[in-house]
Amino acid sequence: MILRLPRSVLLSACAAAALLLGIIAIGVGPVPLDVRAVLGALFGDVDDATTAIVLSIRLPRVALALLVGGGLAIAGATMQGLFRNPLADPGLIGVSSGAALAAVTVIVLGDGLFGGMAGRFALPIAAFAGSLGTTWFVYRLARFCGRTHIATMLLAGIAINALCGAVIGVLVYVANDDQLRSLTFWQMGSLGRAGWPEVWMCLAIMLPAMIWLLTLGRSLNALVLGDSEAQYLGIDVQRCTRTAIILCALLVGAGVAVSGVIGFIGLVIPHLIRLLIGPDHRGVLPGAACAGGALLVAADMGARTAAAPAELPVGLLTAAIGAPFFLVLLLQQRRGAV
Amino acid sequence: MSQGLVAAGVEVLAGPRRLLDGVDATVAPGLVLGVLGANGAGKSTLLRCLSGGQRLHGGRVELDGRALTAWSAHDLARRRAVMSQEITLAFPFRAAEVVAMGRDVWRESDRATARVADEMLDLVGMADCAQRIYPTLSGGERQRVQLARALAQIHGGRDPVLLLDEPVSALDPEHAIRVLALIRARARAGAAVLVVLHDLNLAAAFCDQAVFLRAGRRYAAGSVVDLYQPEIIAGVFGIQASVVTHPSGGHPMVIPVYHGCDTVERRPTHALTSQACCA
Repeated sequence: MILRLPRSVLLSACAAAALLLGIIAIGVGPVPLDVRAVLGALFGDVDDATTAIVLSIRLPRVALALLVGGGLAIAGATMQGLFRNPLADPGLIGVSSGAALAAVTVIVLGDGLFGGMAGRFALPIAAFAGSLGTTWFVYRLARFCGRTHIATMLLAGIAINALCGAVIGVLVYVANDDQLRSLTFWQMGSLGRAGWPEVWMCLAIMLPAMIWLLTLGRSLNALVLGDSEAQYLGIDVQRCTRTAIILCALLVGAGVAVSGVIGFIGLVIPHLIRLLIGPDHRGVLPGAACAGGALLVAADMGARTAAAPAELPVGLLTAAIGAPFFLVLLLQQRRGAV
Repeated sequence: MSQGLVAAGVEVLAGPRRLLDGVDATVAPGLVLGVLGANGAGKSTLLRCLSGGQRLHGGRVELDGRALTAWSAHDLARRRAVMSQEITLAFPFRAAEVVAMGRDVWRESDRATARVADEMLDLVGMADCAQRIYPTLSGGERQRVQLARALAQIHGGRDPVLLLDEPVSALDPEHAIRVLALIRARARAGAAVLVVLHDLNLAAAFCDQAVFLRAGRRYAAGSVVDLYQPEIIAGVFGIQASVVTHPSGGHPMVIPVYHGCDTVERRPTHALTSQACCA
């Protein structure tokens, strides 16, 4: 069943949900805060302790969840358009692991390779390069004569995930204790390291990339008909796919750089949005951006509270929800119902 | 006046095979050009060359005297529309949304797009299915939606060119006739139309001119009346057939001889040069 809600209705609903969940999530934690306290801290008329908790710990974390979730979801929606199939997802096809492998390499070997240069920028740049490389590789592998081989795409994803897993395993083996703690975080995905520097970096990279992607809605619709058809419809196919791949790599790379591998958001969210407003990318892309942010905020809230005072990696949570979802999609597609 | 779409000496290679070998064709405004030939003769490849979707290894294709490669995808899309064979979608777009994609290049309001889409769906007899989900449509229905999309793309444009790859292969006789009549009406209104067909009799009824391809070469080309000769039909398709005149339409009709058709020899390709039939 596919509803066709007006685009504006869905977008306002998703944006409102993201905002509301954000405010609630700021209130949740070891020191519970009610909505009034949260708003008070945000607009500056409560005690210093509360302000400190909200502004320096919880707000950056929620902001990062919004950005990373939105970025992953919009990247997923874009890749599904590029691959002409709703099963494409940055995690499934190996893009996230490619980025994670590059990031882990920098963490473990960075000091040796770059000396003191490894600092703050090496990690995101490596993650971007890793995700760009894998996206391009899978894209070239899975597409043939303007058509996508879904099996090839998914199998390539399995192979890349396995390969990256193996290399990461080797790096874990040679890592020291300090690095080991960082590595665990990469592999499972967590927003536990959120701080303002991460937020600003993500904002600077992801916001322009997302806005640019929003302008590609029509082109992605045409690409779904096939490369030649899109060309006949007046789309510069080569430029469009190249732009979309680079922007997706930027989004996934930045996301992985700050939060590790958080899977299935790019798969689940675009699918839900499509059920609500139909498959037109002009609506799916902005809808996915808002809903993806909202979902990751909610998931992160769950990860923080489920086993409090300990904290679950949020990647485990999204995988636990997303993997069964993926199986259902797979069965549906086999029946030709997607 | 537009000079139409002209292919000259087009060559396409796929590894060691020659898919097209020095083929000429002219899609002229006001006329319907039929492209016919056996399976694998190069019909679709020729259509892709003319649409700009195929890299040439020799020869050239020009629209209004300008090489296709010199046109931007955008400008070209406002002049010519292409309907390919069998387009599948993995996303649940509605029929009307698929047709509306044809209007993207015109950058008009959503309302104007929707109006054109409805009009085109009506023309192909799919008005009732506008809200149906494309992947759930039957093969013939999809074909008509794709035709509506191609028609929508050139609707209102100057000197349109329409390239159609087997637009009626999945249609019942009634819809096949309606669609081809519609296509011919577009040509009479000024469009340059190329249509790949398998049905010799439909081609004879609705095409003004035809190109017969055999094994990547132009076997014969010219007006339908000149081309429909038993020996040419035998040479292109390897079937023995009588050619008669349609009792009411006046165009030629091919009646295959079914008995002993396995003994028909194909005439060698060079026996009848294309030039001989052009006159």
